[in-house]
Amino acid sequence: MTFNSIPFWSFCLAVVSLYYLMPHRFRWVWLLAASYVFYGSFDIRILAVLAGLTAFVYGASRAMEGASGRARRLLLLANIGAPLLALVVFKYLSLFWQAFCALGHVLVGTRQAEPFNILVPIGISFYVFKLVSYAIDVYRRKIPAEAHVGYFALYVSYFPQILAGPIERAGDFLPQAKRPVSWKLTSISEGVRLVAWGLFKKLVVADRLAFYVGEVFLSPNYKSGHLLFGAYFYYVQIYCDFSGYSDISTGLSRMLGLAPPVNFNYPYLARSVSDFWTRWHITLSSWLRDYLFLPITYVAMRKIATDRWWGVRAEVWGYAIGTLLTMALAGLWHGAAWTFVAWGVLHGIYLVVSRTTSRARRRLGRAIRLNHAPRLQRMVRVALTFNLVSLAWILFRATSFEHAWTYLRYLQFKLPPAGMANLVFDLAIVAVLFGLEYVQRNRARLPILDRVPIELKAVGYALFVIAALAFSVDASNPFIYFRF
Amino acid sequence: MLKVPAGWPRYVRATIAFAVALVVFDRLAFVALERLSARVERTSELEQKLSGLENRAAYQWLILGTSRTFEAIHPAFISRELGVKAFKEASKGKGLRYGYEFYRLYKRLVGTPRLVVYGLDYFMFGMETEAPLMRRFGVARPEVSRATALWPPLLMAANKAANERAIERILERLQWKFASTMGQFDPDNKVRDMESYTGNPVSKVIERPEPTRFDRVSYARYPGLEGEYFTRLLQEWNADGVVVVLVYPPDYVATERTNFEHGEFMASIRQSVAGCPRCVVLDYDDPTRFPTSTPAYFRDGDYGSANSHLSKLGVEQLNRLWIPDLKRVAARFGVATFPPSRP
Repeated sequence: MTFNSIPFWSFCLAVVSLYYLMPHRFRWVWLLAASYVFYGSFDIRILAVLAGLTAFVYGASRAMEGASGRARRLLLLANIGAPLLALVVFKYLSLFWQAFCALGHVLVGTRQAEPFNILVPIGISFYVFKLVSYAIDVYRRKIPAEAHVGYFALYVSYFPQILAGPIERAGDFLPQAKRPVSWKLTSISEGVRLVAWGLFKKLVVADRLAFYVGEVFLSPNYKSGHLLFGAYFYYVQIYCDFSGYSDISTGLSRMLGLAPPVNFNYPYLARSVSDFWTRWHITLSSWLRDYLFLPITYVAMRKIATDRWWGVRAEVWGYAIGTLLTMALAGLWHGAAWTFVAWGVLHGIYLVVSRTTSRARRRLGRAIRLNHAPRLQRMVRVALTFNLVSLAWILFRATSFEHAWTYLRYLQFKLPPAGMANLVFDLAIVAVLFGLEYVQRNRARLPILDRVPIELKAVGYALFVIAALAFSVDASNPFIYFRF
Repeated sequence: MLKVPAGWPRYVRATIAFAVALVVFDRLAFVALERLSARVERTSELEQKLSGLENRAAYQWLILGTSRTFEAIHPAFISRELGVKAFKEASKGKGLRYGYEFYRLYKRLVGTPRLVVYGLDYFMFGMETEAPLMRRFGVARPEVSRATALWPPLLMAANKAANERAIERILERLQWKFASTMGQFDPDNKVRDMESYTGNPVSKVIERPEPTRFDRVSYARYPGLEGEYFTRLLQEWNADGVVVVLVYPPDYVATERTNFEHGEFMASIRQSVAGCPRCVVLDYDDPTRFPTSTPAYFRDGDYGSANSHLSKLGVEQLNRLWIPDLKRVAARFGVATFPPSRP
């Protein structure tokens, strides 16, 4: 049951309708049952992992709340250790075992290892991060440990979010889930609008670009400008795929009267790589900031006792260590492959270089008088960031370092006649996407849209639906982030 | 509990406007796509291609089939090894119905071929020729007549797969026009390129151990969707005295496992042509003759994937078996001798 399938939407219709028809005190039972049915539809065995981790973290957090000192710290360790151990066993053990055997092969000539054939519970990366953030927040006394096991289980398994986020914090979700909500047409229509927009991004843009990107990445050893567009289109594809999923998830939550956090904020308009990370997968980047980057940086700064080390200020060292480690782990979180780690490290390098060269870049801007033309300056920065991020996506999409290197080696600007019609068509689709997002972004500056009668808007929506139906892709491609 | 929202008549009006607009735009989009598709798939182009053949009388052999045949059987080798010119009309979506219509058109514009090579496909009876391709013969989609009917409510949804393929074909045709002006190699549409094409060197096969679970697919039973055209073709070929070589190009080992009824399919084909004295069946999907487990010999194929195509290396390997077999068939029926027997 995937988000772009008819059984899923029949399921959602039933869930939302009955949700509002039943009294508030039973709604959590209904949503929890629906979430477990939904998750179990992928493989009944993965329910055991979900239920086991939920029960463990619930119990340990309750115990931790009443404990203090060393016992409290030990409980925290267990509380975050158990979910992380499950993540490592199910997702990374095969990678680490292969790396270990490869090392043994090089050093003492042992046999190379085959990857394990292990069942990976879908969405485990996402709900493990929810559990860890909950445990740490309880430990830090930011939130109380949830007493109601049902609401806690619902927080972990909530079906619109379990497969690929957003990674919502318990402190945001639980109060909303407990608040009685009544049926509102505006919530439903807002939810439907978001779902439709998400499906457009997924089925019309992401899945269509996937053909072009797939072909280009499959045989990159043909020198051509298509490789350049392949990288750009992969950026747009993964953006539409993931943000489309987030829109659908948010839309569903809105229909249920909840307000989940925003996960994407037009990342292709980022003016720097650090700006990109405030716009891309926002719930993950804020999670990484709060639970990894800040603690790592704090520890690193404490270890560097002096103000300067090798002529560099201690805070820069702290930032660099924190950023590189966080980004490497962020890369690893995306998948059990070293190319993902390299992708994370590359982003880390971008961030560190950006921070350490900010003054020099400002001086350069002044020297070439770019600061007198702020719009041009903004465009240059957006274009530069877009290219840097696209370059990193090549590593993310490549199946191996050799694949990524071949891609980069053959990349050129000259476009051959082959594949031109598809390129132009895909560019037109991307232009439509950016155009529609421009209107969304600048709604406040377009008051005329608010004066349009609702009947005319309905006609516009009908046109949108038919256009989306005409240009959507029939093939059922799973969402890219489901595999993470 | 549920409350009726204020200003509900506006919402009702908006809902009605949405529904009406949806149906109107759906019909408009459907008709527009039909017209555009018909325009790019003109019969005249195919006629021009065949009528414009240089030294038409020399094209004594005809190759028909799907994309598997397009990648496996090449006129260049037939011409080099047997000294015979063969015209190949094989590519994705060209099922039995297309083959039948094309054969008749070929007879009319070029002449009756002396030998026809037909590339067999595990799904040939169940596969429907792509609707846009049939427009080349002036055959419109049956759905067109329903364009003004009220049911199904959304024609764009009811015909989603066909519409998508129509858009793909429009892009292909645009690409073809663009490529023609740029002199791009195009073996699917240009006769000269078709004659010099010898296979695709790229192999996309990812070698992996056989999984414990993967989809296995039964062969499409006769008559299926287009089986009647196979019968019609056999009747035409019999009546025309054409030598028919039915060839099954090899499948990658993983696809062989997926298409687990290959033996039964070939038996059904042999049974179908039992009464045809000038029909020969050649099956190269045989690991004892062709190394089907060598990934480099295939462009694609996987466990659970019911289709695979030969790579250029695979074609060279196949030629070692296929060309001598073809020579024997040609010698047996005397179809490799020239000058041609018709005006």
